[in-house]
Amino acid sequence: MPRRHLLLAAAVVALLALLPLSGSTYLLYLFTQVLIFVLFATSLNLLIGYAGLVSFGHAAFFAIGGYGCAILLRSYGVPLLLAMPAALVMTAVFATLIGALCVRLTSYYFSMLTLAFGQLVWAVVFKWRSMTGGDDGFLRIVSPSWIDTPASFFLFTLVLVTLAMVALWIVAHSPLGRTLMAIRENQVRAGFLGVHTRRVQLVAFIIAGTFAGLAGALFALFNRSIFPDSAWWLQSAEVLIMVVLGGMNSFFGPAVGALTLILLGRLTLELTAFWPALLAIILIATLFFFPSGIAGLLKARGRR
Amino acid sequence: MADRPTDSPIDLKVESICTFYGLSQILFDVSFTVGRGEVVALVGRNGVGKSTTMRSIAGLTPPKRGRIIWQGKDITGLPSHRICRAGIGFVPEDRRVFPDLTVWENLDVVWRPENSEWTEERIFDIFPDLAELRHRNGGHLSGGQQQMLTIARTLMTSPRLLLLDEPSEGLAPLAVERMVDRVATLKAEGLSIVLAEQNTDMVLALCERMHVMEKGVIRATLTPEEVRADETRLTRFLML
Repeated sequence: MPRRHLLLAAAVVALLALLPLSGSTYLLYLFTQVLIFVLFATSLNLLIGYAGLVSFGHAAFFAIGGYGCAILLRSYGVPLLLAMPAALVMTAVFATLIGALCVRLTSYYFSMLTLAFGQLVWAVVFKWRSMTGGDDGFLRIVSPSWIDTPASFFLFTLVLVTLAMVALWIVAHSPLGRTLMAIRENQVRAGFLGVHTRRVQLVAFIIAGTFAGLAGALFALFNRSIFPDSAWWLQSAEVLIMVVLGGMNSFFGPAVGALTLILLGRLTLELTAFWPALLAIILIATLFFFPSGIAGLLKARGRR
Repeated sequence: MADRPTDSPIDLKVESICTFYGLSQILFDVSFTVGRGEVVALVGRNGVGKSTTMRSIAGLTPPKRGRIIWQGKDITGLPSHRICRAGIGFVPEDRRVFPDLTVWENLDVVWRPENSEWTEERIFDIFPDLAELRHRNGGHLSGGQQQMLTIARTLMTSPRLLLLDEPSEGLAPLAVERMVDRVATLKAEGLSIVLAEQNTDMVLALCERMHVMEKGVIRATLTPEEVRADETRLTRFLML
């Protein structure tokens, strides 16, 4: 089963690589956005699906990565190939600090603490006008010429997201991923079997945060601007909905969720102004009728 | 409580531990020792403190007073993962395996390279039934198989001392026999074992001595020979 998934994923990547041939700027923009959120949602699912840690503040790392990369590029004139890794290191450092405090608590308390830290990051971004531009956003981010066209930026995103997804897949299927699942299923038991549960959860938190930071950096470059909204709790909620909708029990579920949510958002925006209401209905229907998400639904179909 | 002198070096020394759940005291000055390679049984009815004694040693409910000395080092109050890494493996009675992981993954997840005395292959030699089930999810095993897997999983942490809490509970008679065999094999491998058990036959077959517990204290210490000579010495305590 997993091997089939990997082949399918490879085919999807190959197909996407052909997308620039379509010549449609709209499609390129749309799928660049989808790819960024595929990575963002998958990174969150390492915490939710594998570690059983429901974070309500994952957007904090998206924003730190985004602002970090943007500020280094524009305010300090650091070249992209340095700015991006530096932004990721910065995100990892923040994820370590925030994560070390959050994993000391479990279940609801963990979630509330991540929410609080998320809002704290938002507040800093919002208030620190001289550095971040505050409410006006951080604008005029200039990408180097080699990723300046929609097609080249799309391919750049495709390559980075594919590499990141491969890395996350390896993590999820490594001993670390299995240990996370063991802790999720029974933290006390994993403890007296010799697992330093908090440390393992912290490592997962750092990895998830860093990959969210990469998604954020791509997002800032893609929009050539970044706003405090990207750290706001609604951003965390949106990516959480992608994970739930797509299915948190499957590695590629959140990717499917991201694709579905973005496409649905686009389609309904053209037809109706009631997207938020529709989103609410979709979410309620998901939770009641197929709690394991679209991926769970597909899996059940496949078994039949 | 006086302990019998033994020839082998003492690995575990439990010194007058008092353990509480919240405000209620469960253990009152429980003391005993385990020599290297010995099997020491804790017997008694339900609720006398056998499991709490084990949980205290494993670091899950640390004692408020008293000390636990393991191979000369005071391990009282250490977090459970450190106690495990020091060489004490706990197999609780609820035999909860990780249900979404396969048998092999259940074993692999606790394996650490610096502590690689046991491998899956060696485990499968002792528990051949598990070898056939290695790709089955833990949640899909029978009760006896899950019990074997919890013991096997604890072995993967390379313990020198096993705390076995009611390994025969809820098992069919045939499975109990098999369990006695496996525990005897582990004893022959040189492991020290603390065995909490209600099945008298299993205790008599395996242990060097047994501590009879009642209301959180050790009431008596008996050897299998003493019990075989006069069974009422044991039943007197268990029937109370």
